[in-house]
Amino acid sequence: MICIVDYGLGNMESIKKMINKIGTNAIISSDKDVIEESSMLILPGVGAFDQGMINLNKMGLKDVLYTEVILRQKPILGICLGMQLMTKSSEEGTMKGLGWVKAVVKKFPQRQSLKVPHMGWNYVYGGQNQVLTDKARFYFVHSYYVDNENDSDILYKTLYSDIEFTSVFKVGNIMGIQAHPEKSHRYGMEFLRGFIANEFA
Amino acid sequence: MSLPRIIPTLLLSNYGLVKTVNYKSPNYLGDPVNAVKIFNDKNADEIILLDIQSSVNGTEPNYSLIKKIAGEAFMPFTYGGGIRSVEMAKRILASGAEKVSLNTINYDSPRILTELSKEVGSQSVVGAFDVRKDWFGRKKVYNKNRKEAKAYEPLDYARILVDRGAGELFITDVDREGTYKGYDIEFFATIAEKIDVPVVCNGGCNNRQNIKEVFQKTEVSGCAVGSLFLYSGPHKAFLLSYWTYE
Repeated sequence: MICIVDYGLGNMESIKKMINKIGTNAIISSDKDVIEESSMLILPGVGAFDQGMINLNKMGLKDVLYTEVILRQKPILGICLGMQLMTKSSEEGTMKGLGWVKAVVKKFPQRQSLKVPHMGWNYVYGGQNQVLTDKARFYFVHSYYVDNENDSDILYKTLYSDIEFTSVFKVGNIMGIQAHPEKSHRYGMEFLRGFIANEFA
Repeated sequence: MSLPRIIPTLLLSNYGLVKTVNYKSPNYLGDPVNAVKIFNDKNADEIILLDIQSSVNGTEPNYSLIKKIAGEAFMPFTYGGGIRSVEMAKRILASGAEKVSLNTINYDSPRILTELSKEVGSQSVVGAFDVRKDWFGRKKVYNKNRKEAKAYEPLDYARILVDRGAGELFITDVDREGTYKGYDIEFFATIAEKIDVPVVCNGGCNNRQNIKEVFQKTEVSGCAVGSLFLYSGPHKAFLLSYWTYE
């Protein structure tokens, strides 16, 4: 059973629908018991960094997530803001992130030729094992991006103008994707299928 | 640059799908959820749903319809039409829309867009406005129900919306809407060139070549397409079509 962690932010229904479409069950919940009993977790998220951390704290989810993810090493996928919250900090806010991944979140620079937010379909590339099809693309909507300290944590990169950023990272049981698989039709389904089947190992 | 976007734009009136010409004389087409499923299967980049009645009637959006549509859509989806409070917009986003589009409310209460942008992030907030030629053939900002709109020059107004916090602009050329006359490339080029957020043009798309031209000659980020995808043939029979991604 996959638990989509409900901390008040993100396209939870869409993620659930897509997981159902690829033939698995998912439950949307903020209940500690459900999170503990699930086999995999998804941390969704749309919105601002500090709001995300505030919600996680307010709902008392930090501890149970730490136990399940860090101590019990339960597979977890962070999506968009969910991915960013897993890092140490973000230029978008003043609060500390969960700090599970050695990375920080940076803002796209303010430039004439660079439209921010990065909004639209874009390609991902890299990936040691060929889990995704060759020209896999996803829908991105973000003004901030993840900057990993270790190259070995980066699974896929994406190029926006001349800025190359991490589109997918993987550190053991912890994965993060900057784009929205639930809004990336066939590519999103391909990605989620890969995550659920642990093909990205 | 990000890949250019082609965005089927569906108009709702009293919860049914309609199509208009110059935003007048709506022609009823059917169930919006079915339309979304079809665009799903054809892997459409994203879709826009505009309720053209809400603003006039002052009604609430049909949140359960929005939920249904968002649940069916495996691509991003923007909802607009009669949004007049931060709470309403947030509820629409919570119902599953990726972005909300604010148009008429920007003339009445400018701060709503700003507040909303602060709360949910500018990437989820689209500033929308219509343009129409005045008696002298100059394009001015236009709103069917707000006469004060025409005091604005389109480029100035575009900047105003961006300054207020719009993460994207959706501009409709009412003169061309539903007409198949082709997008006004010159006009949209001027706007997109000077604006730092993504600009989506709407109104007049007549063929694939027209869209290609927009992306070649302007910095427009996306083309909203209405009639071309919904109709086909001389009798305007209802037919949905989409092109495989170029």
